[in-house]
Amino acid sequence: MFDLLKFNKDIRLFERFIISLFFIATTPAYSFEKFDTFQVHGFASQGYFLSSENNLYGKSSKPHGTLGLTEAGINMSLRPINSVRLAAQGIYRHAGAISESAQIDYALLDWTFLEHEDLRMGLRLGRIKNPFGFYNETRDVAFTRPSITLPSIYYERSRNMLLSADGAQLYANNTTPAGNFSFQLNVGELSDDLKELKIAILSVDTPGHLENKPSFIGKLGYENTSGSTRLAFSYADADMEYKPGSGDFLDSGDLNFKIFLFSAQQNIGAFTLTGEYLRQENIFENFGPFYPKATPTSESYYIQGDYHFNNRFKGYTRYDALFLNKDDRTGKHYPPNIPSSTAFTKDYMLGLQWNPSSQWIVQAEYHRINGIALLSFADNPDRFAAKQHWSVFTLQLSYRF
Amino acid sequence: MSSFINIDKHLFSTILIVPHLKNTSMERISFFILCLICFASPISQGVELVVNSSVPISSLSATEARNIFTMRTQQWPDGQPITVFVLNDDNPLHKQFSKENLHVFPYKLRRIWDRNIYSGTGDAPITLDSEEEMIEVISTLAGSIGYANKGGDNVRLIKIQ
Repeated sequence: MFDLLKFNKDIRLFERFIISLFFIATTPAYSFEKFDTFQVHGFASQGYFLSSENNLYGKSSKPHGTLGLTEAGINMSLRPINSVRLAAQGIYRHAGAISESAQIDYALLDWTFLEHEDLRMGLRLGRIKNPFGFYNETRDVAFTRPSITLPSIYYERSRNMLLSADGAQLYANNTTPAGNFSFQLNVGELSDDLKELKIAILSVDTPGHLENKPSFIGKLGYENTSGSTRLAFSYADADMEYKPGSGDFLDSGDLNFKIFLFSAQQNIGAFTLTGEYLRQENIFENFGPFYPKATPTSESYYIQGDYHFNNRFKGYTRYDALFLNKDDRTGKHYPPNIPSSTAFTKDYMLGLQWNPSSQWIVQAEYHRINGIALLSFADNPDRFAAKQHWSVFTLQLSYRF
Repeated sequence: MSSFINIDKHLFSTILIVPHLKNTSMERISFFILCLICFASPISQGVELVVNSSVPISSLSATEARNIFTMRTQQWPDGQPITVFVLNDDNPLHKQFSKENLHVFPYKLRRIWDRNIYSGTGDAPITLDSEEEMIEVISTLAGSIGYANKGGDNVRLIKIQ
């Protein structure tokens, strides 16, 4: 039997190996020329949030707002031989009271084992970003996002679960006269920092913690030859185990998440229409007599329109909705210790983006929100103090190189 | 170069207006002359692909060129690795090449490259400062490709079909 746990330890050693390779490759003895295969890129962004009530990324509520979302990263890639690429990225992220950390975002060896006419296949090993929807792989990079914060499909609470996998990815890319088809499948262990997710599922903080088991995340993509139509289907199957703490009233529970995500994008001239739909089937069981088996299905979707006035300015608008249990969209059947507005979020947004140069982006957004399903527990410990109807004004400055 | 583009735009708007006027013979003649000038103007030559003389191809379709500039195609038919060079996103020649030859807005190319480099799954083209540097670098590096208005030693100009 293949020992995945041991495999993951090897992977961590392997990451260190890749990072040392980079240091060797970047020592002054290595003659760096402009057209070498060695590339370095980075980004930094700072967000400002001002909300009528409720807190996003720190104490965003009036009168002062918060500068609680800071993201920065640097990456390197190198192609020592034609079929092998090494790539690694480190990121720093401060997201309100939820987290402040610096970590290896990805560190991988990419081996293209088949390159035949229009078909390319390969294997990536190490820490690999999870292919999930249009935006998950670059969710912390402001320049790749369609707005300041991603729609609720990519919600903060699931971030650690979906971020990256320590393991392997098989990928394939086929260019045909009908368009480009792509396939990616990740197998590996997901991140272990799951406190927000635990509280969301159990409704209370407990002494125990969630532990990941090896999981699968895959994506099928299509893009037509002109690049004006993009379609994708993503699927994730994640298993977790609840490990009770000392004096815990819960037994060791089992959790399973099956997530289906459909993505579509159409460009018509300067106009872009994007929509994604997510359905997440959850199974929570074996927690003992105080937490009976539950199998809610969550649903989330958005539709966004972008209009490029010119190369410098873009206006956009979005309707985004999230329902934690599609059979109880209004939270009518929630127990009395949880406010019913925790069951959903409906977010209407208007935004404007300005690119003073290709390296800078300035963005401003206004959100009118009904529901508090998206609020983090770290920033809003008292659910009953939260307001159901609220609004947020957001600004963000981003730099890339 | 940019002055030609401006003249061209001006001519284009004149042509659009002309048919709506009364068809006097004088206007017909001036319309005809304007058309002649328009077709004869240097802008109609456009930007061309530039490759190192080692590259084993003589033509590319717009789709093939787009696959190369979006970093999807990484090898020439003979197995030689492709190195892609571009000018800055704001460079007029880059904008012209992107829209007229690849039929893609420059901001869309940037999105694709950003997805590659920040997810660890691919590279971005190497950005150079000028057309002269582009030709010089491509002439020295086997398997390289870029774009320019003119040729040079050890490089070939290729038309997009």
